[in-house]
Amino acid sequence: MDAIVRLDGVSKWYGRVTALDNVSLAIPPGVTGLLGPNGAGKTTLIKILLGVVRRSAGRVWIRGEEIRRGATRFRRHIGYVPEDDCYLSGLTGVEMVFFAAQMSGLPYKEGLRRSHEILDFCGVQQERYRAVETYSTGMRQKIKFASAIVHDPPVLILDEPTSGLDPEERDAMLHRISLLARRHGKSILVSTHILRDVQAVCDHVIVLGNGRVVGRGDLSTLLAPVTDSWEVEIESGDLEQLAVRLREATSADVSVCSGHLVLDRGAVSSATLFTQAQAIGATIRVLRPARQSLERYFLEAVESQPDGVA
Amino acid sequence: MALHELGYRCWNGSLRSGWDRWWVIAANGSRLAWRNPWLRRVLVLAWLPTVYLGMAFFLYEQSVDHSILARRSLIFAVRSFPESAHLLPELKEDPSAIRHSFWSMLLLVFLRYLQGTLMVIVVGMFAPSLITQDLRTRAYLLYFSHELTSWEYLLGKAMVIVSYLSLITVLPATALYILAVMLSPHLSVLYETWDLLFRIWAATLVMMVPAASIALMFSSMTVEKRYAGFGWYSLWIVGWVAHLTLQRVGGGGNWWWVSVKHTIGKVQAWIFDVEDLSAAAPAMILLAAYTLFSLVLARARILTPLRS
Repeated sequence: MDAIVRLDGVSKWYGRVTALDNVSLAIPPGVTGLLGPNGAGKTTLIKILLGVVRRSAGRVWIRGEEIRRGATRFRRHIGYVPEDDCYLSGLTGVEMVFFAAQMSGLPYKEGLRRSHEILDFCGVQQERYRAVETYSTGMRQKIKFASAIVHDPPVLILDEPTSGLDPEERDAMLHRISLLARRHGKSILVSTHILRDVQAVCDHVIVLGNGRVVGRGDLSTLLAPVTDSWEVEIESGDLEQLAVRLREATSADVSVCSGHLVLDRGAVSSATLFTQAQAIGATIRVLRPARQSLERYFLEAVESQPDGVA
Repeated sequence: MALHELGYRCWNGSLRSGWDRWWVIAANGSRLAWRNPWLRRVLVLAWLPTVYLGMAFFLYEQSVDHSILARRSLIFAVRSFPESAHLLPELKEDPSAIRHSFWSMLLLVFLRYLQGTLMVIVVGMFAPSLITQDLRTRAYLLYFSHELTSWEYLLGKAMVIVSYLSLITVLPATALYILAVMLSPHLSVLYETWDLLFRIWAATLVMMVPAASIALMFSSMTVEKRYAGFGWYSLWIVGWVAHLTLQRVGGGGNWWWVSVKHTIGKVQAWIFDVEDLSAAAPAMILLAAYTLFSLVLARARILTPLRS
C-alpha cells in the first residue's frame, strides 16, 4: 500500500544536540504506533510532520505533497491531538470544537452541525455546554480528539491519546481510533508509552531510539507465535510455585513473564502441566503458543542502539 | 447510545482556503472580550466625550449663523483646548472662515487627548489576556496545527484590539464629522472638509497599530495577565509622568519621545495639519520602531514554546 506520510533523511539538530538523525520512514494507511523512550525524538518527529519545527535536513511528503518551509496548507490533511493539556480558555466544549472546525475551514453552519455530531461520536453529552476549564483531564482529552477529527482529516497524529482516561474510556478511545482506521481509512500515527494500547490497535510500529529508527514492522509479524513454546495463564494459585513444580518435574526451561508462564513445548507435556496445576489448586485459563512480547521487542530495539545522539 | 448519535460520518464538503483564519481568531477573541460587563460599561462611557464635542460642533454652526450667545459659549467651551489658542481671535471675528481648521482642531483634541487616554483604559481591560491565556493553556498547539502562520495569529489577535478601539475612536469621530456636516447650513461644506474623514482614519490608525502591537507584546511576555496588564499601564503612566516632569524641570523642550502617548499625539497633530512633517517625522519613525520591535518580540515569544 502507498504510504500516506513519508520522510526521507530527516534530521533535526538543536545546536550540538541531535534530536533526529537521518530518519527515513513511510507511514502506511492504518494505525502506526510510534514508540521510543523519553528523548528518543518522537515529539520532534511529530512537530516536523506538523511543520511547526523546521527540519535541519531531509524531505517530508504528506499525501504525495512535499512539505516546504513555511507551508501551512498541508495541515488541512492532518488532525493533531497533543499530549499536553491544551484548550481555549473561556469556551465551552462545543465552542472549542466549533472553533477548531472554523480554523480548519468548515463553513459556519456545517461546522456547528459537525461539531455536535463529532461530540456525540466522542461520547460527550450535555457536558459539552460547560466551560472547558471545568472539565476533568479525560474530558479534555475527548474534546482534543473531537477538535482533531472535526474536519475529517485523512491523517491523524495522536500524542498519548489515552493519557488521563479511566479504563472504560480508554477502551472507548481505542475503539474510536480503530474504527477510524479500519472503517474510514484514516492513517493514524499514535505516539504512546503504553505498549498495551499499541498492541490493541496498531497495525505497524516504528521504534525510535536516540533520534534514529531502531525498529519497524507489521505488528502481526513482530508478534508472530513462537512455535516451540507455550504461554500459560492461570486463574488461581501461585504462578511462581507452578513454575518451580514444573521445573522439578521435567527439568525444562520455565520462565515467568508479565503474569504468565513460558515453557518449552517439547519438554513439558500438557498432561504434566495440568497435573502440576491441579496439585497446587490452580486453574489453567489460557494455553496457547507463546508470542513475541512487544515489550521485549521494544527493549531489544532500543538497547541495540549505541548512545551518541539525542 | 442516544437516538441522534450517528457514529462517525465522513465529511465530503470542501474546506475554505486558508487566508481567513486570522478572522476566526479575531471573531472568537472579540466575542470572549465582550463577555466582560465592565468593558461594555466603559465602552459606553467612552462615548461621553462625543457628546461634549458634539455640543462644540453645534455651537460652532450656530456661531456661523451670527448667534452671539453661541459664539461666547463656544469660546468658553474650547478655550482650554491646547490647539485652540491661534483660532480664538478668528473665532470671535468670523467663524465661517476657519471651518476646516476649527473642525480639525476639535477632531484632533477628541482623538489625541480624550480618546487617546480612554484607549489606554479600554485596551488594558482585555488585551493582556489575549496571548497570556493561550500560553497558559497551551492553546498555541491547537492554533498551529491548522493552516495558520504566526503572523496571521498575531493579526487575528491585533484585530480584536483594533475592533474595540474602533468603537471608541474611528466610529465616534466619524459620527462627529457626520453630525457636523448635518448641522452645517448647506452641504457645500463637504467639499471644504471631505479630507477630514481620511485624516480621522489616519489618526486612528496611528493610535491603534502601535497600541495593538505593544499590548500584544506585553501579553506574550508572561502567562499571567495581571503582569501583562501591569506592564501595559506602567508604560503609559510612567511615560506620561516622565514627560510631565521633564517638561517642568527642563522648562519645556522636546520631551515627547519619552512618552508613547505624546509620540502618537505628535503624529496625529501632523495628520490634522497642526504640526509640520519635519517635526512629526522623528515621532513617526519612533512609532514604527515600537511597532516592529513589539511584533517581532511577540512572535518570538509565541514560537519559543512551540519549537522547544
